[in-house]
Formats: sequence, C-alpha cells, structure tokens
Amino acid sequence: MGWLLTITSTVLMFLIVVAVFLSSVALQVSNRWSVQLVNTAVVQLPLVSDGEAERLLNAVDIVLSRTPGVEGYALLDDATVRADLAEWLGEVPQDDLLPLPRLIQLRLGPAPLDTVALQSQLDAVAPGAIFDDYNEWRGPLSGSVLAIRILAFGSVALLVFALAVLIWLTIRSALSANGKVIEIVSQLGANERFIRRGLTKRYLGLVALGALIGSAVAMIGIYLLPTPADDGALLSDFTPTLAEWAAITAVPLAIILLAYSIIRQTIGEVFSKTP
Amino acid sequence: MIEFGEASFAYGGNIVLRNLSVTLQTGSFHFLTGPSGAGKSTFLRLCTASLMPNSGFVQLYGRDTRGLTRDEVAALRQRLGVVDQSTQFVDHLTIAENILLPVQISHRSQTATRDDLKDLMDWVEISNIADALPSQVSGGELARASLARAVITAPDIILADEPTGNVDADMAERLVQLMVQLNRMGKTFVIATHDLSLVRLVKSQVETRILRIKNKTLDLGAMPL
Repeated sequence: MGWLLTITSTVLMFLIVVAVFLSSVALQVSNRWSVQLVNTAVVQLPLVSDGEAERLLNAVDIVLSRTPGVEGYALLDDATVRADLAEWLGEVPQDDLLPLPRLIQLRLGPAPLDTVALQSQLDAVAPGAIFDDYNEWRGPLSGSVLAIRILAFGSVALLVFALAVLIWLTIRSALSANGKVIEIVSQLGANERFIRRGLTKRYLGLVALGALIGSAVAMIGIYLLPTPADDGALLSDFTPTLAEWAAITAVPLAIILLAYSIIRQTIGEVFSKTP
Repeated sequence: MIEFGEASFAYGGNIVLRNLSVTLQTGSFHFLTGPSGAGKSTFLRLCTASLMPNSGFVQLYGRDTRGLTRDEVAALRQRLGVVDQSTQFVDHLTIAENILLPVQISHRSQTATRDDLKDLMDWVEISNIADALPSQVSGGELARASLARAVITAPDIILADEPTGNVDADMAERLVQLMVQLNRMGKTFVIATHDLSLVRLVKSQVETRILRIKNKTLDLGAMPL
C-alpha cells in the first residue's frame, strides 16, 4: 500500500512538473506574441532600386505623419529585421540574392486608425506597399494561445486533483487496514494527536519521497532539453528562467503541503466518526 | 481510585451488569470472579473507559468517565496497565517494541526504560523473543509479553483479564510473584480469573478482596473456594 502511494506520487509528480513547464512555455509564447502584436503594425515597402526606395520612403513618411492613430514610426534596420526573422526561421544568412524586406514599424496610439484609408493612401504614393496590423494573425493566434493555456492549466489542475484523490483514498484504506493498531495504541493511552502524528509522518513521508523523485526526474528532463544554440535556432528558447525554475521547484513543495493538509483532514474525519 | 456508583451496563437491551457499587482503593488487590459471560470483561472495560455505564457512574481517579474528553481518557489510560484476554499486539513491531509502546505513548525517556525492559523481559523469561514478531511466538509468550507491557511504565492500576490463562503452572507462579511484588510497591490490581489456585496463591501473600459477579450484580462478601 505504502509503496504504491510513493510510485503513483512519483509518476503524477513527474507529469505535474512537466505540465507546469509546458504551461510556462505557453505563457512565454503568448506573452511574446502579445508584446509583439499589441499596439504595433508594420508597413512593408516594395522591393525597388535604391533611388526609387528613397522616394517611396519619403512619400510614405508624409502619409504616415498625417495619419491619425499613428503615434510614431521608424524604418527597421537590417539587423533588426534579421533578428525578427530569426525568431521564426532561425539564423538568416547574409545573401545579396536574398534581399531583406524593408519594414517601417508603426507605434499605434489611442486614436482610432482607419486602416482602409491608410492602405489606399499607401497604394497611391507607393504602389506595392502593404500595411499589416497583424489582424490576420492576431485572431487565430490569440485563440491558440488561449486553448494552450486552458489545456496546460487544465492538465495541471486535473493531475493535482488526481493526486489529491489518490492520497485521500490511500489514507482512508490505510486507516481501515490499521484499525487494529489504532485500537491497540488507543487502549494503551495514545491520544488522537499521537496517532495522527504517527500516521501523518508515515504517509507524508511516502508522498514526499514520490514527489521529490518525480519532480527531480522531470526537472532533469527539462534541463536537458535542447537549447537554440544546439539545434540551429529553428525553435525559440524555452529554457526556464530563474523565476520559472523557482516556480517549478515550488510545485513539489506545494504538493507536499497539500498532501499534509489532506492527510490531516482525512484522519480527522475518520476520528470524528469513531465512537 | 476506581469507584462504581450504582453503575449499570447493557448491550442493546440486554442488561449485563446492574447497580454495581464498589470502591477500589489505592494499593488494594482484587480478584474478579464469576462464571463465563458473567460480565467480568465488561467490568474491566468500564474501568478503562472503553465502555460507559448506561446509568450510575464509574469514576477513575475521581473523574466520572462519562464526562471525559478523548484526550482525557487517553491520559487516564496511560496510568493503567491492561493485560487483555485476547492479547493484542501490533503485528509489524517486535515483541520488545510492542512492550515499549506505552513508554513511547507517554513520552517517557526510552533510554532509561531500556534497562527496565531488559530486566522485565528476563523476569518473565522472554528475552529470547525480544526481536521476534508477535506471529512468531507462542500464546504463553504473548501472555507474558502482555504483562510486561502492562507494567513497563509502572502504572498505578493494573487490570488483567485471565493473565495466567495461557501459561504453565511454573510461569503462572512467577507472574503471581511479580504481581505480589508490584502490589507491595503500592500498585492496585484488579484481576478477572477463573483460576482459583491463582487466587489462593496471591491470597497467601497479600491481602486480597474477591468481587464475585453473580446474577449481574456484585457479591462483595464472596469468599474463594
């Protein structure tokens, strides 16, 4: 009975820590997207010769400076564009045959922006220029982020619930199985505190052992995940930050506290029904 | 120390003991006799507050058992030594650990008691089974271990239900000597037994009182055969 509790705690704890890590990854991704997408937009200039580019830039500059809702704007230099693309595509090699897009990043203000009017003006002064406020991306991405968050937190909640139920069931059956022992020590003068302490110590120890093993294995697994430097930067870096490591470490401690509370509560319930 | 005042007890509607009134003084030695099913074990269970009287009262150390909280009952039981008829031991603890349980429960120093444990186990001749589990020893050895456990903390009152039921005559005599010795040290004994030779043996050494349960009541003037 006892070792079953330890083994199950180990497995569930492993899954809980992994689920917490995945939640944190989902949060990281969604935060990154939110920061990048909210209150920003971009105008992509068509690829033209250098002289023509200068003219287009001046024309677009005039349009943007007169457009209500646009608080500020700046032409992104190649290094920034390259870094942005690297987020999605990995390292972008310097190659004259593969020119980088010329992008003007817009900072949007509180005033409403008439995107249709802006695109018309851009078409008039710089045919081929595209205004993109990420709306096409934002909707599906927000939906996906929300779904991932619900899935991740839902998994953590269900796993914690399953572990709590398991502890509760084990303690109840252990108390039934140890009915004789409880009766003997009661006859010898043991009070509830003594019996409670003995049982709590035993079962908390078994849960804690499982929780520590499970979370340690999961943390080693997370630590050994490949980083962008290892895989050529096709993926974003999801290595936990110090704060995230602290949160992951807090999970087994929180579970042990939860187990302590369930064990004491269950023992109390059983005793309150004992004549 | 233990006082029954018009105490009656019934299981369901079946009256087992009726209007018992008796006071068991400190340092006294009592034998509780009567036929099987007369209520001797019930009497002892009333003394340990495992059962409560339906009417009247049972006082333990001046406290009415019906008004006690669980913790108070536990504290009072620490001052009792009980040798039960169906000797109860914790299966996964060794005999020595089982005997030391009352010491652990009452938070006494275990180091000091380990010497007592050795002497006590030598005295009841079970030193050889100190590390055995209860399932590995005989009924007689368990009976001796039960007595050792009952006296390990030197309680004021020792309640025993057929303590010599499972031991040979030689060991029964040794147990009697132990009880007599403890009684001379001021311990109170209440022993439920059918064994009249045990009664005679003790009576020849210390002053005893016979409590005979007859027709569900106590016959305090009874004399052993």
